[in-house]
Amino acid sequence: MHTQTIIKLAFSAVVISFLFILRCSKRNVSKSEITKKQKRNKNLIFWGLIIAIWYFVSTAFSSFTSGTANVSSSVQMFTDRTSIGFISISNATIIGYFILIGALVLSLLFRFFVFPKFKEEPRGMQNVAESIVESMSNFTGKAIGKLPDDVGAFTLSIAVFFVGCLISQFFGQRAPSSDLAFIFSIALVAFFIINHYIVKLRKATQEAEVVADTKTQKRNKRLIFWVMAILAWYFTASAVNSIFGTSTENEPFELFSSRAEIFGVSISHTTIISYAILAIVTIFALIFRFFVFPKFKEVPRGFQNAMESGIEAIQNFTHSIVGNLSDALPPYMMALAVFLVGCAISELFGQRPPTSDLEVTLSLALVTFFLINYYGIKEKHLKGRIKAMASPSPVIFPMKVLSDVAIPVSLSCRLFGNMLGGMIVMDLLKDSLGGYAIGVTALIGLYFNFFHPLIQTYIFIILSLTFIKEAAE
Amino acid sequence: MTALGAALALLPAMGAGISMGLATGKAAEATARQPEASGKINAILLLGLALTESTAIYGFVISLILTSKV
Repeated sequence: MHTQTIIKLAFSAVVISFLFILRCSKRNVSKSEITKKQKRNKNLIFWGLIIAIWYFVSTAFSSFTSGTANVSSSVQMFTDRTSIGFISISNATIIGYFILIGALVLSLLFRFFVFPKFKEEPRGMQNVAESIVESMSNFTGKAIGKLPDDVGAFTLSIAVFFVGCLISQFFGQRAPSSDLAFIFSIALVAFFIINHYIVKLRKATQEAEVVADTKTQKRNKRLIFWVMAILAWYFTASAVNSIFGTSTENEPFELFSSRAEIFGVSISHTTIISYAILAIVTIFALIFRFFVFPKFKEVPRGFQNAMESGIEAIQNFTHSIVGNLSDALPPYMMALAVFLVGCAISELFGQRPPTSDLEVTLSLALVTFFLINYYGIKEKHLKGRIKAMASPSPVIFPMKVLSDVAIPVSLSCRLFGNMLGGMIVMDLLKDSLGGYAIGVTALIGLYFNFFHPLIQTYIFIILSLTFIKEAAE
Repeated sequence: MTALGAALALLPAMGAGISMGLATGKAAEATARQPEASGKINAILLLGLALTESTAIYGFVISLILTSKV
């Protein structure tokens, strides 16, 4: 033994003996004269004794087992796995099976050896067992509402399983309840059982009077549903990951998209995709023009009716903003809308949407700029247009010119920034979730890839029409 | 310093947020007063929101340009 250990042991032995003597001396005080101070002193002595004894015992123990082992086991979120056959099972699942088998064996023993000896009048253990079963069904009845007795039994077995998990920790194992997959399987079973009984109960109470659930019962049901949903997502994602494997390569984000060299011209990736969208829309339009429209009749029915009312709606919409300016504006605005929606949908196919590139949005805004000036000059002639910019006083002429130039810039930057922001958010979400990006990205993509671009399309078109009207009146 | 500039470029979003909240509040008040006009109020609200949001987007674009080393 080291001298250090001997010194530690001797010191703690001295402290223990001192405290023990002190304690024994204080024991002679009669019970009625114990003041607060004396109680506190007694407490201190008690705890000091405990700590000193612990220190002594642990030092002696560690010195006998050749020094303290400084191995710190790393805490991992997911347990170690072993492969049995071709299935990889976590250690926690194996231990959980042990617990379940143990509980099953115990219950079978009870069922075949103890229950037949029960009498009509309960005594002793039979009394205890019956009161436990009764209190369990009362508990479930109060929490969830009127349900059959099997649910109480299921709840009791779940409670037994969790207590078994706790006890397994005393044996140095990792508790199965700390493994999400195992917990999820139990939660799935509970979900199905509860749903099954809710359906049964609904059918049964359709003849009887319907008792509405109280607020807590409704909240409990909702809570159970959401826990099930989250666990179902996690389970599916883990299953898909373990079958197909995860690839954690993330594309680096760049402000401008990648470019390709075609016939000596450098074209960006997004321009090529926008051409593809335009080609698809044109092909659709040609198919409609040559195969569907000739079959239209004088009195519209069905599909023709829908198309005619749609076109009327677009024309009304455009004319409500611009007035009777031109018959070519409504088709152009509709084509623009279709193009922008197509760009939004192309993100669902994994491509970088064309509207998230400043080139494409700038081109669209420049077309609007051209249209503004075209209609302005057509209505007022060139001199009238320049005069309109100097209308209250010639001093503000440069400012008006500047604001006219700022219109396409603001249009393009608004569309570009919004679409780029949505794309960045979706990319970050997918990068952070890695292999678990199943369902969550789809739900959030419903907003960022579908609803948000629709709003931006609407804004773009309304602003273009408003500026055209402003220049042409 | 580039990083500092990129961070400062996003401050205008504060003004945009406050103004959009106020606009939505006024639109809600107007709809409560006259529920029949809710369609027109909705259209005006969307237009105003998009226009004010564009100032915040300008700042966003500038900070992107600064941080992407373009």
